[in-house]
Amino acid sequence: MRRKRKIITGWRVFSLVVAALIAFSIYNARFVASAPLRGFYPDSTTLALSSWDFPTAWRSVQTGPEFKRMREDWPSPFAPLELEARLKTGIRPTPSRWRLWLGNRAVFAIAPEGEGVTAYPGLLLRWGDAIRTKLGARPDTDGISQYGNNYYAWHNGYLVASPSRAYVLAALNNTNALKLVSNDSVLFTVQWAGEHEGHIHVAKGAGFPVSGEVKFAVRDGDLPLTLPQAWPGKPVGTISARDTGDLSRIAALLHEAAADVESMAHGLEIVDTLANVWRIQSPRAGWNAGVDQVSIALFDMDTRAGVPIPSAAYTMRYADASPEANPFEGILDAAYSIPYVWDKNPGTMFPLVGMEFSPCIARSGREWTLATGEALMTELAGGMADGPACAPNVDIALRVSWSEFARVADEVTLWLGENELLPRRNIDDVRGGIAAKLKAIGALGTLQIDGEARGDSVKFSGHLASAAEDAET
Amino acid sequence: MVALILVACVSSYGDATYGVFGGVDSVAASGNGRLTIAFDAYGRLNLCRWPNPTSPNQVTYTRSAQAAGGAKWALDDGDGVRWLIADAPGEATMVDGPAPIVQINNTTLGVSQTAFVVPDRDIAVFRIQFAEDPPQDSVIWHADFSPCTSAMRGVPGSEALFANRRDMVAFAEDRVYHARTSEANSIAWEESERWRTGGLQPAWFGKGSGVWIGYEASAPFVHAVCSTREQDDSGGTRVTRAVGQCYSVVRVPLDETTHSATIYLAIGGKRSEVDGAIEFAKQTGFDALLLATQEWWTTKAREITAAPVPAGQLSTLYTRAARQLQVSVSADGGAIARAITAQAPLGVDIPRQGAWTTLALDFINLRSAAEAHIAFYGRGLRQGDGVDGTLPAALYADGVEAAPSSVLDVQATAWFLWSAWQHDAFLQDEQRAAYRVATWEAVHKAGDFIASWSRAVHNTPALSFEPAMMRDASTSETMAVACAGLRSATAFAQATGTEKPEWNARVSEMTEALRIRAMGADGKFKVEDPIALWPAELVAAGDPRWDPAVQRALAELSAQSPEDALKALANLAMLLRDQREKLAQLEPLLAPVIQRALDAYPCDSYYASLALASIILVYSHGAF
Repeated sequence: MRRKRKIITGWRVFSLVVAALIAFSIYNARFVASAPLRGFYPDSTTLALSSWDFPTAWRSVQTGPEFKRMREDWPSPFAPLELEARLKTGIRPTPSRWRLWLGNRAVFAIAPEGEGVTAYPGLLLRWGDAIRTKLGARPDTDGISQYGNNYYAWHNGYLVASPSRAYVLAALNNTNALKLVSNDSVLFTVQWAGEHEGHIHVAKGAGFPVSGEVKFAVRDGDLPLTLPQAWPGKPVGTISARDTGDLSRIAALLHEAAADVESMAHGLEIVDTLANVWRIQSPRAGWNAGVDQVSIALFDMDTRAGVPIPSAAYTMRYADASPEANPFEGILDAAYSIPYVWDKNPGTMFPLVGMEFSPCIARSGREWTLATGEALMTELAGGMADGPACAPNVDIALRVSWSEFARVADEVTLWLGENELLPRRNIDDVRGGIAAKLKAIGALGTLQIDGEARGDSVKFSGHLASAAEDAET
Repeated sequence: MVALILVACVSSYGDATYGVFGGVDSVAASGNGRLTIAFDAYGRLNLCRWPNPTSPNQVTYTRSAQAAGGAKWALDDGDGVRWLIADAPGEATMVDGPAPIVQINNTTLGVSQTAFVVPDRDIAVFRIQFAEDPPQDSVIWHADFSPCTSAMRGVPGSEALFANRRDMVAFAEDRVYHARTSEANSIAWEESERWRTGGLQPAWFGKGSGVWIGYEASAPFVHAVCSTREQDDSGGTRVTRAVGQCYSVVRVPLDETTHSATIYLAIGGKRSEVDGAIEFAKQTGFDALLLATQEWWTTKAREITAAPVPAGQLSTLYTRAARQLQVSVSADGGAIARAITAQAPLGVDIPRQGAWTTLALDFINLRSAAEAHIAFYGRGLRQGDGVDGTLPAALYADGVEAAPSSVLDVQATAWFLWSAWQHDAFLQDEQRAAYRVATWEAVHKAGDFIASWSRAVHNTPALSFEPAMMRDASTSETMAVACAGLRSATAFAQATGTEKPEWNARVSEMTEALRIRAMGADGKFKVEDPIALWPAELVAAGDPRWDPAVQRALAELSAQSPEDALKALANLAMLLRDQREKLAQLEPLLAPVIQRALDAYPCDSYYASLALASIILVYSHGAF
């Protein structure tokens, strides 16, 4: 008698399942890659982060050399976000899981209505939602469904989700929202709306190479900027440009941003009052005639006096020798000035509050420099280097030393913590967590961004975290 | 940040603005040296400092709107809340007499309020009383207490500037509590939020310390709720537990017989302290507490030198000034708050003005308080490179600096030296030796600093922070005070058997430099206000070269601002203190000048001190 052959054996089932899974994975991958990057968010969106391949971007950032440098002190930078996602969805997010459930495309946006995400999910989530709908979790009359504390809707095959229902509703009805400028050659793009709208692409590569554009007019010129790398010592950060007006307008923007913070607003009102009392005047007409380029540098924030006192300087470089006539004349009250000399460089000190905060002005070589204190001027007068020069097309340059930033931020944060100035935190929290994060940031190297004037915009490029620190600042 | 603090600190010196936040905000105050309360001109509680008169303000208050912040009574008749505070300023005053009892009468509304601090416990009592049948059988008390556990080094009034430094929880049971722990880290906040929504009581409720403010009424609350400003902004309802920027609202039944309601408030570092104090207050009752307070202050007043004038306006002003001075004295440590005021950082000890306060305490026979004040400054002298022997421009009662340490106020150190030597003269022989031993080290350090600072007065400007200009400068007035301070230190040194020839040399140099600045070739004064230079003793007090300046100053007194007139009067009194006939010119000026100043600055210990010193100097008839 012949034995019956089993059609369904364990190995055959296993092989079929594996084959089905492989086929599904391939099909799903093609499916999620088939759609272009699109975002649905409210018209009032102010900030958006978009990526054609968000899981790859995420993994690339996590495994890149920059995060490796940070990992010793800050092992899991995304831990709070991951925990929040897990609490809300029940799934601990990883790049692979994101790709499986939510696909490749992602647009995160912030609007007055809230924050949310647009994704082109894979088949699993679509089938899952279809089953939910069949079982009774139908969308409401606006087409919005709810999952836990989150709201979502489908729009042209894309999923729009947010903890805010108003966000989702506004996203479905957007007619004039921010146009995405991301492309598939970059890891992700951040773009913002407003008077100074712009975007920044973060590309693949060491040091987070960046490029982008921002609506902000700066003076154009041909001569290479030499001030970005001219400061002696190690500034925390410098901004260099061709024209004092460019820096003034940046200062005005920072002033405007600070005025939105309640305690800073009080401070700014009082600074204005103090400027009146100290009789600080605007510069006279033509004060910057002949200036080739300007730069402002922050060196320190000293909290030992009980309040942070900045150590900063502003310099103007001329094409040839600096003029004898003091361009800062009249800005500070000459009635209280004291003539001074720093290593044969003549100048003036204007005592205000101790040596730490008594502005000094000095002329040396091709520069006239204003510093916040006498000790700083001792370093600067006669100490500015001639270069190296930036490329000729660079009209504005930003440099930040992350190690110096971390040092200063650590000191200021400790001061904030000691004095209970952080919301619902004190020195325990600073020592327990924030200090380590700042130390990790200090390992990032330097930020170098160069901008080129393009009409009413600046087109810029550079690196956010270049490891070549010592050469640049 | 430096600018913010500087303007806040320094504008307070230049009293024309009395701080960047606008003029005088407290007009009536009571206290016991630990707990201090004060009211604004509308009758709203706007200040509650604890555990000393320089501590943070434990109540949130803004002067921008009549009804915002503070603590105040109201009626709610269904048509809306009607605040039982004055529609116009001017009705909050002090009851006549030595006891600091606040009285607020609103004749339009037919209500009166009484408030005072119990002398030997950290309890404040607030009573409201209707003159006739009240429109309702209960009243509302709205309280915006905001516990703050520490003052911020270098930033006085920080709790008003930075909301994160104050507040934490409020909850209503049989009594209402506002509390904040001294360890307000993220864990404490998270525990508090969980408790708010029904979780376990936070660990810090029962251990550690902080600031606990509790209050209860003479009868059980009809209703007691709490809320936060954040909740109000988002349209939330009031509850019995709140976390954040909290306030509380209670409805208190009115006594049918007296038409009154009373709130008993206590402050402490732990809830148990507050509970014990409130129980005591309730059991004792309003009338007994008021009587005990009045008796305590009356007894204390017997220690003070009687007013050297007949009963009348000047005698009343003397009592008023003495009372205000005493309310400003910290119970522990010797510090004296410049002023009892909610905003602007005058609620700290300011040494350059504190010398007058010490002098006034000596004049009115509170020698222990004067000596404690000097010892407080002695302990406050800094140590370290470049700052050794300097006194901070402002201090909290716990000795922490209350102005940025980059502010170098040379007058602070110099006045300390002058004050130390002045006090020596008030002591009995048997006390003097011990005082000199105890104080010599501080005098030595401070004297060395002034000597070093003044070393090159001819060629290099010797800079000092000048509050009137809000910057470092070199002024004749500071040099005169430095000269007086170092001369006093030299005398002190000689009295202890120590010779300091280098100090003598610096005094001579400064005197000479000042003479060049202030006097012409003809030997007459060439500066606008030579009287301000009286400490330097450039010429003898009886020298006729002072006469034109004295006559000019006397003629200008009535036209000057209240504060400038009082300062000028005090300077004149010091200058002429040995000259009986010339002092007599000041007698008719004392009452009007002092009345104007104390009316304009009713809670200011510095002006109170100037008033006391002026009265005693003028009526001492040359005895000092």
